[in-house]
Amino acid sequence: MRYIDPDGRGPEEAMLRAQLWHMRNMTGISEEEQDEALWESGDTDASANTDKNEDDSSKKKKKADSEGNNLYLDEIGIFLGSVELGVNSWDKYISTPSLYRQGFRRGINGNYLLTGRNLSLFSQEIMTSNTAPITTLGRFGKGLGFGGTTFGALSAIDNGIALHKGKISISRFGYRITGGGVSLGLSLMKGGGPLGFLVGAEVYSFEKGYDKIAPQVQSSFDQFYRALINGWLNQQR
Amino acid sequence: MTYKLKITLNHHFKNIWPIFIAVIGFSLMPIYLNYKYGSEDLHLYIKVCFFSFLVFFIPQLVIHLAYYWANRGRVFYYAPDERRVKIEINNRTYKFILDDIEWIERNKSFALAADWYQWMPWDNYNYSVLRVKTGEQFVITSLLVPNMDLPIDESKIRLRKRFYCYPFGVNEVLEI
Repeated sequence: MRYIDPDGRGPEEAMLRAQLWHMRNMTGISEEEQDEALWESGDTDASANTDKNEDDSSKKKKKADSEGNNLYLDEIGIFLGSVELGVNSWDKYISTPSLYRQGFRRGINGNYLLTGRNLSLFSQEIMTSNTAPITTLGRFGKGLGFGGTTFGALSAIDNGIALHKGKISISRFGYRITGGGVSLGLSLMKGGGPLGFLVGAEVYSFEKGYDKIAPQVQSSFDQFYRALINGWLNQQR
Repeated sequence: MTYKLKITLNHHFKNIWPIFIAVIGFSLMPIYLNYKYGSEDLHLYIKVCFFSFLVFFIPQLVIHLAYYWANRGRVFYYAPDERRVKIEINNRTYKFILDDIEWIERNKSFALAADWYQWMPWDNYNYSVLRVKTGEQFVITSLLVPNMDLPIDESKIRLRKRFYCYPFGVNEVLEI
């Protein structure tokens, strides 16, 4: 028998036929009645399939939208966070100690340079947060920190609008908002900046990874499920 | 050399500048949303962005005005060589040397205290409560003196780390 499968729903139709074949054996209906039942069943299933396909396509569209959604804001946020981490670390561990060793100290209105007797007296003292000189790089890094917060808020707005427009699901919205909130909360806890950034980056990476891996896992599971059902039906013959 | 510090435009800017990042971000956001989702909900985008901006702006405005009213019209003189401080408040002058300071309570944001990331626009704001041995007590905000880290004994410095450095319940003692 030549098998034509124009719409690519071969396994479903095969399952349907197998079910009818089983029904005929159990109830003893004729082949004409079987065909009629097939058409009726096919129609019913076709309408069900249409709904299912619409759901599927809506889901796929939503998923495609959600993958595209927020792309630039998230990535700019991650980029800013990385730059900020680098700038702040450079400033904290390289620029500021270097300036301190040169004799610069934090004054009440900017830095001042130790000279004369003060230089010989205080130049060897250990640097504290009160005496560490302020650098331009440090100011820039701090500014980037609030830039990251701003991007987080803008990203939340974008997600809210996307949810309002039906571009992303409520679960994805919840995941993003929770991730952003945890990241910001950790950042605010006693100046734990890097931890907040790392958690934010993890949340972002996990979502992107999920979007790549989940369809493959779903597809593998569907194949496994179909094989299982077909195997079970064959057993019933 | 004597530093003479008062509330200037430069000091205003030193404290307030991070909010301009939010101004730029939240101003451009409706344009981005308009481009991304279409213009039918433009009013919604503008409203959402405006009210979100206020979440950052109102606390900063409140703290800025509180600092301004606390130190308006004051002049702070500091001579590091002589370790001498002079504060002019309402045509009265208070003079003391650094050794006369009983303690200074420095109120800083977590970001400022840890010298690390600045997450909120009001993280630059800090104030100090300065108590001298004669019993007078002054509130010096970062609008008047951007960084009140005077070279005094560490044991006299109390550091309070705060999320929001509003001077709640702080009293000055100017008359003994």
